Amino acid sequence: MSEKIEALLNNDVFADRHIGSSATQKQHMLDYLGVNDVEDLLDQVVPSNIRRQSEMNIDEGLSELAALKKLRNLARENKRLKSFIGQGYYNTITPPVIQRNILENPAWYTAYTPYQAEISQGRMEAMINFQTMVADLTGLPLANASMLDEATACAEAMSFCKRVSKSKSNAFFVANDCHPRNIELVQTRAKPLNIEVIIGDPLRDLEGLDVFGVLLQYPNTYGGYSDYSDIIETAHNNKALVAMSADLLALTLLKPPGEMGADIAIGNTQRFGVPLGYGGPHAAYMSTRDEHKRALPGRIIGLSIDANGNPAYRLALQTREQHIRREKATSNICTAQALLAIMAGMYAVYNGPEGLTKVAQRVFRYTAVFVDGIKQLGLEVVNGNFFDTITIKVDDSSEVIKLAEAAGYNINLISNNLVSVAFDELSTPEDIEALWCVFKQKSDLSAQSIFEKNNSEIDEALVRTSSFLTHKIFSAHHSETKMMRYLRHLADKDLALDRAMIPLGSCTMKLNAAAELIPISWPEFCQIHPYVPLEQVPGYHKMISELERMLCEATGYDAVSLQPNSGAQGEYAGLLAISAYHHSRGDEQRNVCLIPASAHGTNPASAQMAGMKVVVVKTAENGNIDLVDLANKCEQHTENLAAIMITYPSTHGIFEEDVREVCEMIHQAGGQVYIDGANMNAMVGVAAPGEFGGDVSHLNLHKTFAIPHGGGGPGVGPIGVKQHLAEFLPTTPLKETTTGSVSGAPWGSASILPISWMYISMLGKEGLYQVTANAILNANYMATRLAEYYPLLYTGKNGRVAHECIVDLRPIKDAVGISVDDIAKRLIDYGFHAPTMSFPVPGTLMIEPTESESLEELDRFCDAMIRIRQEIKRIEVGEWPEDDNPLINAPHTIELVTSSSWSCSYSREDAAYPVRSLQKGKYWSPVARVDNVYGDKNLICSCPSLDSYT
Amino acid sequence: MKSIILSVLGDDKPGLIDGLSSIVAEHKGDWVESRMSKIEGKFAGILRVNVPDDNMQALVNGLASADLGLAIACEELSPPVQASRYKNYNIELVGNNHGGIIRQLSHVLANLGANVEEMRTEVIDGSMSGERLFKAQINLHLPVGVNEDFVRAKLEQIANEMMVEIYSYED
Repeated sequence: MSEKIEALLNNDVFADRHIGSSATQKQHMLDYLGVNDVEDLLDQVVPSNIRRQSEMNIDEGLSELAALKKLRNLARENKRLKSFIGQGYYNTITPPVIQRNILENPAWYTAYTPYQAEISQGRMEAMINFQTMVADLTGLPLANASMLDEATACAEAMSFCKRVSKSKSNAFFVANDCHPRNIELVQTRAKPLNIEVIIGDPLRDLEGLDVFGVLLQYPNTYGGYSDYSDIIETAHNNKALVAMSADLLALTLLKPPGEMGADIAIGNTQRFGVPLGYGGPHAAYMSTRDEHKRALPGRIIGLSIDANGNPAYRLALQTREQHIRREKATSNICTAQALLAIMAGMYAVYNGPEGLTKVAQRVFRYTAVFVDGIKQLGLEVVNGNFFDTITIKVDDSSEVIKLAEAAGYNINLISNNLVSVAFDELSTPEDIEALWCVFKQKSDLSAQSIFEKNNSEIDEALVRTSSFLTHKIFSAHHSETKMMRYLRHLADKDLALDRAMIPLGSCTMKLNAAAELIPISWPEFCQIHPYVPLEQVPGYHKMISELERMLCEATGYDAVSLQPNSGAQGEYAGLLAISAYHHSRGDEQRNVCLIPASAHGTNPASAQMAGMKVVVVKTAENGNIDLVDLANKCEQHTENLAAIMITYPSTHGIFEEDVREVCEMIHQAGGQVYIDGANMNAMVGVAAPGEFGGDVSHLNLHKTFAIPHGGGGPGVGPIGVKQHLAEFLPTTPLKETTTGSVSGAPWGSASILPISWMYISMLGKEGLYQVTANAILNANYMATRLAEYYPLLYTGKNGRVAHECIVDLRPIKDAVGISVDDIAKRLIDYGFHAPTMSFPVPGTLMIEPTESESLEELDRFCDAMIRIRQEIKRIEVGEWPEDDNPLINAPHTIELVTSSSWSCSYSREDAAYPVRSLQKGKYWSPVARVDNVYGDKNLICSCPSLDSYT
Repeated sequence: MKSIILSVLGDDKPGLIDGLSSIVAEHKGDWVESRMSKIEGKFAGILRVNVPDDNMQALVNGLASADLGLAIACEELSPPVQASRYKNYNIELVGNNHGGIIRQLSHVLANLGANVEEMRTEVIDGSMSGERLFKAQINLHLPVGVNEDFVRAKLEQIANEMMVEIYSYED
């Protein structure tokens, strides 16, 4: 026998687990489409002139176990010292009940942004807990459902002030004791907007300055805190707004920003149970006064009622996102940090106001004991008061840092003779004593005896006197049993990928495999402070550079930056690189950005933030870019053309034949080509934007590369660039550039990068290619099945679509008044999350199945859509009235279907079990259709009072 | 010379504008400006015509008896108000659609003393979230002295989630 014994070893092919359909099922779909094999299909779909010239240089796939083992070995190379660095990032205890039931639970992490309110009630309740927590602690009544990170939030606060302030000034004042990273991000953001940033001591330098806004840090980066009430009043008298970046844990003890008169509060909520993760992801927050509600960026959860009058949550103030003049938008926040916000909110629910205060008191007392000891040792403490951080004068900072490292600690270097030490909920008396020895090697101080004599208090004038987290939710779930059941109760209300396919066009809701998610909980990845010395984290950097290399291979680019922590941040970073490139060549005047009418709404907003002028290029009848209009615009702006932003395959789900020509036209006119990589799932291994004309692209790792959507974040939006733009990527400690930083942490959301590393490593070159082929196969199978019942809006030259398709519902609306919304809500009765609604064309649905769904699931969805078409027919023929049918009454709750009275024109069975397969398993919408108008009239964005349930 | 404003409404068919303009010309009228539009098969228009004092009544009668299938109303224009006392604005609105929103909007504009030059409205599905959105583009004059922020505040009172953009411009 010539067979080798090794052949019997486990060599499970991950691609076969990731791709939903079996070989037989794939063949069935190919037969249905009348093509021989996937190669045949790809030839029909993908224009030959953009096919990859060379294969990706990526290894063949590893099994799940082999990939985990390889990554674990990398992770183990990271050294874990105990962090006392602070600067907005602290050690924290992630309550295991939260880790297991949220962070590691697909019911939470595979959910989508809660646009479909009815099937998102659970996570919206969790997010409104977060909003209530932020509003209470900051003393400002209206909070959003998270920001990307604290530093980005500071930059957003600047734009907010600019939008709202009545001041004519173009200057923004930033306190010089803000965290350096916050100052840096504000400067990066201010530059293209031509805002002058003035940095100074707020207590001294603000007097007499004409500014539109002020940013303060509380407590400041050195650890001290001051009463800013007078400063804020003066600023208001000069028409300026004041934003305070505040530490939420400190606010349990300190007078909150709202009570000092601040207009905006921002900060990080990481220390509320979210692991450090070498910088992210974490949820930052922003809160403000009610009168500024329209200027608040990001998503906001609000309370409304459903069609039966029961309380129901919804996304409030959506009209901000639907703003008429997209190019006037001043914020491009789309993805937020929903999953991390939910964790932080639940940390507050689990600990309650007393628990949080106890943690804060402990941190404060330990800091106080440390301060007493340091003074006894004869060292000088720079800050007069403190909460958790003290800054100490030393002879040689780097010497002290070295001693600390030798003792197993990281502390923060401020300057040659200043270091700071930050305490948190994991600090112990042993740490205090060990750190004293770092500063005075012969210290024999006892933490116990100093503690006994210590009587430090928070400054009397700034003691918090107002109560917080008084809503009953913050005292109802303090036992693990209750918490576990509360989380289960909420998750059960929602529809995520763990129940059914989520066919959201342009969102790529593919499998987030368990093996990909496991490494994010490893302490070697998740318990590392973002500012540790690079030599402590070689494992991280090997993983990061491997991922960068693999992404370069997948896209045809030469360099990648993983810093942007959302797709929109990637767009912004990419455009900054383009701008910097033009400037480096003396082409400062190049500031026009061409954007097709069909572009994603974040494109024009990002261009605006990058200081570019948006010029819209028309879309031709067939949905493609209008080449005549493009030629005109190129000629018209030939002197000042900076870039074009195109999406490929287009937002219409089509591989445009003339994309190469578009790129050439732009290059000839002196512009750069930005290719939005939102639809990269149709291209990996098949076509590479860096090959067919792109100069820069962002990728959504949370779409194509398997990072879960988390119910609205985290996202990761790395950018890939050609060589000539590489020197203009965002700054990192490895490479200083003129562009500056775009995220709070140098490698953005580093701790979730292992997900994409695992995804690529397990699929390998061939697996990635098969993924793309099957995404296209699934989409074309569905498009062809549905086309008989619903007109397809756009197809490519062979009548095929790319990895998604748009069905046109406007004829139905015109005929019987049934809207996209009605069909979307009816799909809930069938157990599905609706496809993308009215994007990019109003009155349509955009369907993207992804490769992970099996033939059965595709058929189940198509059957539901076809059945719904038949229901519409019954309205058309007059069998069901236009104002009483299962579509406009959808979704049907169990309460409605089982009520003793039933007066609808159709049967209860038609309402709840329109297809037999639902009898095997039925998802019941927890609420009936949510009333947007009611919520608009009665804006409530924090936990509802008890009487709203009566 | 008199200035009259006519409004016309009826089923759309070819030759309507031609028919109207012939009648105006017959009475030595001068077609000064007009806006015509078609929605769902109906034709509607508003136009300003200058006509010699003596011919005014005849023109009105001629229009009333014309066989165009149009309901026509006309009113004499009062002497023009001095343009310098007004300022021009473009206002763009987006909000959740709800019954009576146009009435509320008109009411606010009337109370502000606004003179609406042109108003376009539509109701569309919001992208991603699918809610019904009301959008309006309004071109209007406001008496000088009415403050932009005041206008915004009044319009924002229509709904919590109404987004208002105001641009002023010179003629």
